Amino acid sequence: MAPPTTNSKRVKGISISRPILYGNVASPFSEKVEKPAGSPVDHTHLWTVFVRDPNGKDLSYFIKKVVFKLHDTYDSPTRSIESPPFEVTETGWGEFEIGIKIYFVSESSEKNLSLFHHLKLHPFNREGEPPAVVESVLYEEVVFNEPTEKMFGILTSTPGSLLPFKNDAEHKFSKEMEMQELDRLKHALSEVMKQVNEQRDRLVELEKEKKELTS
Amino acid sequence: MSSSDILDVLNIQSSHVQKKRPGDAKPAGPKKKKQGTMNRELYNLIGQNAPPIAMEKTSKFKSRLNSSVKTTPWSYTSFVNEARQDGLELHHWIKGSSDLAKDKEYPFAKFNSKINIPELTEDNYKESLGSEDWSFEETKHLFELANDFDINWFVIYDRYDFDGAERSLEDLKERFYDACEKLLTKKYESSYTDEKTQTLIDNLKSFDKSKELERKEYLSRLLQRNPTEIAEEQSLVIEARKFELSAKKMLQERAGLLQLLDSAQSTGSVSQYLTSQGLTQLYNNLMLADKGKKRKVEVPVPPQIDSSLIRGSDKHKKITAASIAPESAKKPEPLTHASEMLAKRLSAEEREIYGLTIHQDKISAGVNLRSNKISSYKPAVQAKIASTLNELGISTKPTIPTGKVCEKFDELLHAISILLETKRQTDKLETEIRLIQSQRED
Repeated sequence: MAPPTTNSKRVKGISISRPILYGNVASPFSEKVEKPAGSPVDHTHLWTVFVRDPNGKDLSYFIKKVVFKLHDTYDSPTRSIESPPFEVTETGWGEFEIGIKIYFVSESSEKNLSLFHHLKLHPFNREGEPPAVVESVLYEEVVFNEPTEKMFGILTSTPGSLLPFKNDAEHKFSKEMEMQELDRLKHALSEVMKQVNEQRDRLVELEKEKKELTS
Repeated sequence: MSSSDILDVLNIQSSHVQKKRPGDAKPAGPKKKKQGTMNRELYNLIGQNAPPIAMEKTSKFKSRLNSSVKTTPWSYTSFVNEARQDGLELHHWIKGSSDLAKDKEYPFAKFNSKINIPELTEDNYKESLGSEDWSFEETKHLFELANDFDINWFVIYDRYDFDGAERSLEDLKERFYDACEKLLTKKYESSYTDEKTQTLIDNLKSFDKSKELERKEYLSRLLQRNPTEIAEEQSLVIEARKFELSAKKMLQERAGLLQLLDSAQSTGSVSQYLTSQGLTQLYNNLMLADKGKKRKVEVPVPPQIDSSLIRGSDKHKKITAASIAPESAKKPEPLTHASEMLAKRLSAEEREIYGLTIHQDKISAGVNLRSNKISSYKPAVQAKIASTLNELGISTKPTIPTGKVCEKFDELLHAISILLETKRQTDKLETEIRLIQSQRED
């Protein structure tokens, strides 16, 4: 539980973040992907749910364990993974919500973080040839606000992963994507600000009109 | 020598002083007890144990009326009612002696008042009241009825019967008032009219048949409402009151919003903070202001950590060391690392690798997900924001929630919320103006 107070001195005014990816890959059984022996007859897919670094680095320096909460129909549905890679591979036939709890190293004296991931087995587009691998991966950043001094030490001694500049087969999230997103947001923001100004002018005009009417 | 002796010497009789004399006090006690219903022998048997309930004999009957006032004499006297023409003498009982009432007027005679209706003759009819609709005879009939029934219009209307003429109550009123007015004007044409008559004439002139009919129509409609209509009306009144209240509130809100939108931009120049000295000074000022708030200040990181801004870093190192110094005694090990880290001038890229952000404003400690930090709004607003985002072609959650993206996203959400609020206000104002305009047109 909560470590002694000597551990909880915090470095004020700063935050440190680490990017992570979470999600799943799934592929239907085929010649390449063989059905594991002993898996139930009605299972159709092999899938893996994971929490990992965008560049595949080891995350165990700040993540102690990851607990995946699978559907209750699985044997021992709560899977606690205490060492990297933080992932669970299973077979199944249906999609469901997986609860992911990330526990941090004790030096951080932080509570765990909860995420939810919808297990994806089927592609969005059902028409045409089903792809060999279905992916559903999300980008997220874990932000340590005012980390403890020990944690600060840990986090600053190991650099985090930087996003690659361009999308490629291995990296779905990149700086380019971030820039595009920022551009889109900037564009939308300027559009909204324009509308705000228009509305404001209109409001002032109407206010005047009303004054004239009532006076 | 007691006080009573002095009183005796001075020849003063004082009853209350006497009662206090110890000699009198003793017999007063038992005497009181004897006044009860129990006889003494029985009481003595009981001794000191007084019964819990006081038993007292109460009389069964009301006490006899014991009035000392003398009865008032009434006398049977005769009287003449002055209101009567026939001088009939009647008798009645009056209070007091009969002599008193001898010369007095009969008190109820004054109620037999007569309304002063102008006289209608054939001459003045011809002179000023000529009308095709109303013949002299009919007018005369109306005047007679008015005279007979003291202008009680409903009675007049009931008794009105002239050649089978169909006259409404308002017709009668109109004719009568009009005729009276003309007669009075004629009468006082040449001579001076006193104020009373003048107001009477004015009042007579002001009678408007159509208005009177309208008024009666309204009244009858009011009386003929059915319960559902009454309920509806009441609910409408309540609703109207609510509208008034909300309008007041909205006006305040709008004023607030306008003020917010028109608020002055920051005019101060940032140039004075661009040098390292300026920045240090600003930082010190802020620190002082913080201390003034009596909050425990424990910020080891001065804001000038960005190497691009710092030329002379000695100062900043000093500050860092100074602010951390008290802690170093207790925990030297992790601290040295932290201060080392902070003392190192990190480039923007390095800071990005470590995901290090320095916050000027207060942040809450603890671990969090970046995308959870995006501000949320009231559910109703949130839904509208979502639809606006949809229109702009932005998904409701950022696809790649990095720090920068989340910041921008937050900014966007805030702008949209302002836009929605402004829109709401303009819409309201528009409907208000339309309402005013439609009221004007009516």
